[in-house]
Amino acid sequence: MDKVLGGYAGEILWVDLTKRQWHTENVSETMAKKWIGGSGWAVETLFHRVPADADALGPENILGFFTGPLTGTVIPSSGRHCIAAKSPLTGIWGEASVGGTWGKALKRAGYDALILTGQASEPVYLWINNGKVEIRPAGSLWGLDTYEIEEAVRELTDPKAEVCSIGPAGERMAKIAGLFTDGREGRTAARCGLGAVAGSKKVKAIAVYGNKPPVLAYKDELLKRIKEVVPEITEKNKGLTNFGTPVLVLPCEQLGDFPVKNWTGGSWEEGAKSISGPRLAETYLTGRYHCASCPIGCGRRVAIDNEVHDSVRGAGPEYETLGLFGGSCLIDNLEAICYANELCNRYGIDTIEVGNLVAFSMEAYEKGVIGKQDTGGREILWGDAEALIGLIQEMGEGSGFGAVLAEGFPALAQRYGEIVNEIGMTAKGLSFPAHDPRAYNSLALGYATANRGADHLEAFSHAFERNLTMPDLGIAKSFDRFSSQGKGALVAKTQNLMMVFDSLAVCKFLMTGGITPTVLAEWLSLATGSEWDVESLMRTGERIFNLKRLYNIKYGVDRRMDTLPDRILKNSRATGGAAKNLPPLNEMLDEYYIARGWDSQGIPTADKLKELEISIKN
Amino acid sequence: MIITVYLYPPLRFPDGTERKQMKVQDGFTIGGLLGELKTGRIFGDYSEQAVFAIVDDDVVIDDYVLQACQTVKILIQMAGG
Repeated sequence: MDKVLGGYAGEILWVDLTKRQWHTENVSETMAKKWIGGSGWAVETLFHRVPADADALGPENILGFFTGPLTGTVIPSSGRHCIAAKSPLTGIWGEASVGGTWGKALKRAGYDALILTGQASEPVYLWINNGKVEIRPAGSLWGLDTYEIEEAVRELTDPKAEVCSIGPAGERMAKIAGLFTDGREGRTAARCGLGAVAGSKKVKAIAVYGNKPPVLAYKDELLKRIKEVVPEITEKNKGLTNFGTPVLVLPCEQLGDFPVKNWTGGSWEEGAKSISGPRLAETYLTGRYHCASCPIGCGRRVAIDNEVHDSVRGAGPEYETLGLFGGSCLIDNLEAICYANELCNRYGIDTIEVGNLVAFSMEAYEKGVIGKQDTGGREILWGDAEALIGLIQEMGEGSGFGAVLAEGFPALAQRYGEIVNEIGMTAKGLSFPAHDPRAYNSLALGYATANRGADHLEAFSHAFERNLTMPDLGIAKSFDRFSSQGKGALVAKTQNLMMVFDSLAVCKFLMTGGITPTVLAEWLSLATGSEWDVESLMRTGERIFNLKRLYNIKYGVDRRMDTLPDRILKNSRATGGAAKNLPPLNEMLDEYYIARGWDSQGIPTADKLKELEISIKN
Repeated sequence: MIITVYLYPPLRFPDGTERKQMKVQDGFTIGGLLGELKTGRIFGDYSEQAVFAIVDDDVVIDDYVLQACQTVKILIQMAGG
């Protein structure tokens, strides 16, 4: 680093898997100021280095792990990092943000980022130990699940090592495979098929240990500021602490935000009660766990023993999993959902994709689009937990109809045609999270314009259509969720803010704990010793979002792809908290492009790029 | 006027029920209602900040004025995603 900034480790580790060589590069002050870190560095790296015609599963693709300047510090909920690559599932920008402890360990090992290039000829795992890097053979580890691999790699390295890994699905390059950290106390970079990219590079695991915490520029002042805000973070997020993200099940169902019967239903109250956070706490919850430096602690351990399936001893299902395995498949058997969740974690697959694919299969089976000739004789009926579990086993093991599903919706559309686009709920090929965009108009716009495809956290604007306000962002009053007025500007603004969260990299759940852009700017200034304010932070967020858009434009993204399935735009639901509402997407898109300074086809203008100091030449 | 208050798990009235009719004055607000329920220890360890209210299928905030016969649903705050 040309000038030492606090918060950063100061070096980026590049590993060429083809040549089995590694080197480091210093972090420049320009890179820190212009792109912050995390998600910002991810797009800056991939945009310039991954060719437009690169095969996502080929050696030209880059798989990067990027911490932010706040990762691994004492700042609340800062145990996050960003993983990015060209997505093999969607063919466009692929990114997944993940919590846990691995990012903190990488920073403490001396690196702000780890970037993998090329492809190994045989399975390997990386061992990064306080600045020492080894590429080791992993032939004997190939085939282990994500719980087993953590234990095995720790035995081979250090019991204190933090392990990021892929499961058997990633090894086979299933396009719904993710990267998993923290073993049984799992945290998941599930989305966009990034586990398949690791599998294509034959990287089974990355073990990291470090004991050098980042230096903070104004540590005492920072600690004082943190102490002032932690009580509010914990109080407002108390439900999250007690029940984890499943606390969302009941309110989302009430507001018509919960997926029901593959996005055709509007309410499922009794079912939601049977799989809710409080219900989970009464039954299978055995404890909680925290990501690094997090005062909330939304992770939950569950334990189940029964005679039908193997025991469950690991992370409990998140809200997204409950929504998609539960509501969308009409399965109200919480025990079965916990088991299905554990199977996904062990195989290393994304429960959001899985839930949507199984709900799609249930509807396709009912409609006769698929039959027993496709499924190997298996019936796939609504509410059938054994069908869900059976399909997950096939997806994880690469057998039967599950192997077909594990290639994701874009591949299914090639196989079964237009019906997949009609009843498979995706944006840009990525499945919907468990939030119905008919419940919040800004959520629909957010799904349609998110760079990685359907993503409720790339804008998180729907929180401002409930009861969240943020005066320092110009949002003094919350929005009417069924109105379209002002939604284009709202989504553009909150997307920029989310780029900031993902680049710092801190947890977005801080937002519901009262943390504002003003606080983030203070934290970043005190950690790095570099001056930041809300304006410079938001401008940087805007720059990052625009570069991701430019990255996608290389792959043909424009207005035509900023859309949602007709089921969402034309079919309202009869019941529930958002009955009758249909989001006016085109109208909101027009306003959004204007707010963004893009042309009517969704392309950033030259003036906008100049204003943001973005150069599209290397 | 009479309103109905519906508590969702884990919230419960002290007698274990989840739904009650309450008599309140005209002009009573959501903020007033949450404050009264908090005083009655209906929310247990949760503060007013950790719960929220839905009326007529929408999230309402403190200054919302209740009308006769409305149902107020009270749930644990939607923290997180």
